Amino acid sequence: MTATISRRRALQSAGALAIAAGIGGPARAQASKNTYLIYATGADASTLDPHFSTDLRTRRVAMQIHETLVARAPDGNFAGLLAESWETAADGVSWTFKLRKGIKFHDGSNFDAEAVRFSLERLKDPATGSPRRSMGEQIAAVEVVDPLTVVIKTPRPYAALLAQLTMENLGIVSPAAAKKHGKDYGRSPAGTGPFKLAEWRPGERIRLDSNADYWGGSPKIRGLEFRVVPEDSARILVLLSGEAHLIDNITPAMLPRLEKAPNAQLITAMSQRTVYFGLNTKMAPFDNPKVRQALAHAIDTRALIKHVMNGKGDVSRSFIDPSILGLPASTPYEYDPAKSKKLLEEAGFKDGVAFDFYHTLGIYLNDRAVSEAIQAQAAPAGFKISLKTVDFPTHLSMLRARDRAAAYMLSEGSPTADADVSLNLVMKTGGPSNYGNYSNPALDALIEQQRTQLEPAARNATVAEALKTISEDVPLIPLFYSPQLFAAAKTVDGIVIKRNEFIDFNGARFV
Amino acid sequence: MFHFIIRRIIFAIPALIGVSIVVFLMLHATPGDPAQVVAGPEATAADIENVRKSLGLDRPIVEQYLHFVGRAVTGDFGVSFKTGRTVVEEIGHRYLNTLQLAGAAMLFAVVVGIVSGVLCAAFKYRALDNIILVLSLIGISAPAFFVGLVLMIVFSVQLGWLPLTGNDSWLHLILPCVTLGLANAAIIARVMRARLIETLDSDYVRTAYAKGLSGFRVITRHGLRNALMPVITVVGLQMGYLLGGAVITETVFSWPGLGRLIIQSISSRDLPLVQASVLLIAVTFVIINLLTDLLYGLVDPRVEVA
Repeated sequence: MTATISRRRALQSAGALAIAAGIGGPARAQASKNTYLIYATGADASTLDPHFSTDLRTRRVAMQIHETLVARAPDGNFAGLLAESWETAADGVSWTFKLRKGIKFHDGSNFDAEAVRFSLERLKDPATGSPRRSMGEQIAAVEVVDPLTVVIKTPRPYAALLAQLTMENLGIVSPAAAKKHGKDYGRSPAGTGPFKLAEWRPGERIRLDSNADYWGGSPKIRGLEFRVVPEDSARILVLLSGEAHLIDNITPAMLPRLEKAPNAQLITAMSQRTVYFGLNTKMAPFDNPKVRQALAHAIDTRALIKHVMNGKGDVSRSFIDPSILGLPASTPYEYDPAKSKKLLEEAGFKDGVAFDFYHTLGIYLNDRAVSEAIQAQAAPAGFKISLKTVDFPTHLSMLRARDRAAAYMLSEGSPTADADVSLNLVMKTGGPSNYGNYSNPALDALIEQQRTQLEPAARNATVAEALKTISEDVPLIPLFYSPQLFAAAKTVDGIVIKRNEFIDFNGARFV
Repeated sequence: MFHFIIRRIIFAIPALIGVSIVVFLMLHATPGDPAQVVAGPEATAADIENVRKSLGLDRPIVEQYLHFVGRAVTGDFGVSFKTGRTVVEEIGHRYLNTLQLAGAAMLFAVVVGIVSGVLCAAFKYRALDNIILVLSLIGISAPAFFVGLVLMIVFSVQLGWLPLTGNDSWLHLILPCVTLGLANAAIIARVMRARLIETLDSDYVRTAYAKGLSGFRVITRHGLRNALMPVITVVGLQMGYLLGGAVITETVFSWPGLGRLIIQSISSRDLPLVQASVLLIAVTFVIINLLTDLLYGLVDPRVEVA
């Protein structure tokens, strides 16, 4: 009898111990200046060479190490980074940049005008083999005037040059390191940024040490660690257990749980990435503008944000996020099944119309749930949507064939926070990402015109007109501007998630 | 025995060539263009052609295969499309990580499986037997991602005893090893139990009891050894699957292993990585089968390995 009681008591106290440990548990991430800030993310960077970067994860690491000549300030205006000031000559094609002095690359060599020339020409040189050579297309020549002055020439007046220079593909690398390592520069990078590479274990983690000599002041943490945690739920657990300080790509369904967690805080930012319902304007039934307009009236984008996205994300009718400086806001197409049905009848589809919609899976936030909601929303107007999904490489190659998918989900980011890139890629006749075969000579003329207008107000008016044309013609239906959903431990602050999807850790610290 | 090993190795060569051809053809028949994936969704047509050329994908398929084989026999498996590192470098440490995880999981499975199987047989149809049987049923049925997440919540988030991700120390190995080994432990326990009960019913066991041996000695000396053959078969078969199929466990625990690499490489159409990884797994299967056959001979002298 006594034995039974003592055994039960022992079990009870073990249970109590477990609960106590559970409550007091996550104090393990002892935070101090000597701690690495650990950022758990879904996949590894593929290279740390900014001239080879084509994806977000790569960009986010490479741009802790490297810097560009100019960057966007939080208000959207341009701020000098490696360049101190700049001016445009009267001819509109010569841009003179005065560089900051006394900056050193991580390999000890000096940053100067020659490094700028070397970097931009490295990107453009076919022998380099950069998959993003086209990013340097608008740079005709780079001339070194003196060690701290460089002139960049464009083939014609190019209004988006400064915006283009904020892209990581135009980042500045150490010529000495790039010559020494050649193709392997991506594993031994030397930039001027606040962090420098310490250790890279592929598929596991990248450790960056703070650059004590950073020209903008040494970061307040020992360094940064990008840790690969591919599973969505596991990423949340590493934050809750204190093993990581920052996690990304939180699915909206998990938001309420994280909001209640005592040791976590949500960090959300908008991204200027438009997730859209693409329509192939050369394939039936979307070769008829009336059908496209009918579909726009059959999708309730406000409800998508409210119910599917847990209120995160923004919506409007414009292909490009109006938060981009100087762009007009517009309300989305009204959800109006009756009007939609009428438009469909006018287009000759009295009994409705059926089509396949190719959506992505796990590429954009809630892509599957969004697609299912659209399928249900569009049904009353007479759209019978069959949802199809293939893996992303197949999705891309179907779109690139340009005659296989009549309707598809895709997104377009504006990493330069300028309309020029997206308009040329997606909307111009024959544009590289114009998978809907959209062609509108009037729009093409506007896109060409805005490129050469160096005066911001005049240029913005042209861009606004271009966006209005697109809204009316509906070559695609903007679904939402995607939010960036992060969560951090309450022990850190000062992390800035930027609209161009970069993350600024310069001011990050443990509290 | 030496001849046996040589013969098996020679027989494996056509199998490996076959595997390499099948994998190569399947990868090229899969929709999706590696050059497009590397160049990214916003690349221009010219960007994509540059990439295609630099990856050697613009050449005829037969030439690409012969080029691959020609280099592979010298141990050069090319360069990853995505990262530019050599395939040997990419796969090497991940393979070791997977071997470590699969080895530890199998050790766990064998120890737990055999002990529980023996306990079941020794106490057959009694409470302990039934409890273990029910537990083993749960072990077989519970999917790895579920078991993994539950273990993580209990032992890492709540108790704070074990780390969640990475592979820096042996502590990191415990949770993934249990997650991966659990189902196998359950299978081994069931096989062990069934075979041992059968063995304990045989005449020579009755004789052993009759000559006055204790129950413990009868089970360990006469029963266990005779009942071990099917367990070895199961271990041999499962080991191969553990090496190739630890994907889910590796993903849940962020374990940088080969399975996860293969899945990533398939979804980014990183052909050289997929080819080399699948070949490596095929070679591993051949070796494990060979070792299993040799082990039969060791455990049971009646089996002639020649």
